Amino acid sequence: MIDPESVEADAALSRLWARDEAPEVDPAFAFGVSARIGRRQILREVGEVVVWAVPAAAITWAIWPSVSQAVAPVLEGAGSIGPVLVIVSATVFALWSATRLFSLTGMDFGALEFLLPRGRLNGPHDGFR
Amino acid sequence: MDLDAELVAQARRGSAQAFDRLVSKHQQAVRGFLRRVCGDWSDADDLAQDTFVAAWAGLARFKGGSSVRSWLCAIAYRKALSHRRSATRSAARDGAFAQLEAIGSPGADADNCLALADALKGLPIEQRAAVSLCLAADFSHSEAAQALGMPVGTVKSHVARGRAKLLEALGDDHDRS
Repeated sequence: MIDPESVEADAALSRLWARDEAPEVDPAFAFGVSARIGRRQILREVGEVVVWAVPAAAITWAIWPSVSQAVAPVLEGAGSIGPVLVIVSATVFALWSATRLFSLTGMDFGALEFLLPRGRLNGPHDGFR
Repeated sequence: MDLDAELVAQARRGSAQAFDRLVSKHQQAVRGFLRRVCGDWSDADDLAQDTFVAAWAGLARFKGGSSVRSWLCAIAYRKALSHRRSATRSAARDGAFAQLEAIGSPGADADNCLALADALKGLPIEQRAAVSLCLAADFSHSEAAQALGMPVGTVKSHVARGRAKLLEALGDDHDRS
């Protein structure tokens, strides 16, 4: 039996504690935390979008017959500009999605910074890394 | 305002850098605590990451009544308790074997370490947590009591009993060799 007050006892316990010590600096661990937070943020944002997108889709579906009649004359007149608008909207949406994803994974994308949504963990000069 | 409180305030306002600094500053303490409580390093590191994610989600609920370190360890302890409920005994044993190899060369020192590690694993989880915080991480008894949600007297008795059991295990190992 070892004397609980002995130096040997303290040394043995210190060795036990040292064995389980994590490194003082561990970028891989910090990155893992950031990635989990990023995934959580994406899920939360998808959830927020779904909350309003589903009712919006249902309402659009419900009122579409009357809306389509009302806008038909306008759409006929804008036949040539329609495809251009669709392409521009799709491009902006794709860029926004890409920059959002990169910001959550800590990538720097310079000139496209202005596309990022602000608030939560995206401060003015503070992408989540 | 101390540095931790300032970082928490900045993180609440949306600063990822501030939260990153909190993670870097406290990861060693949280991981060390969970490694000692869980016994399995990979499970412990996984729980530690979950702990920081939960802390990030709960930043608004941190009132500053305790230190950030205590608050994080309190979250970590709750994670460890719920993990223990779902973990199987055999998985823990597999992890222990992996760590035996990680300790390195055999010898009297490694034997002592293994005996102590086994003894630590044999303690009830409340005792292990109290011993880990007070003896290994230099928490005061009242700080540990806050983190573990126990009265200070209970923490003191857990620490005293846990320490005695660890040293008893070490003594038995000495007697055998």
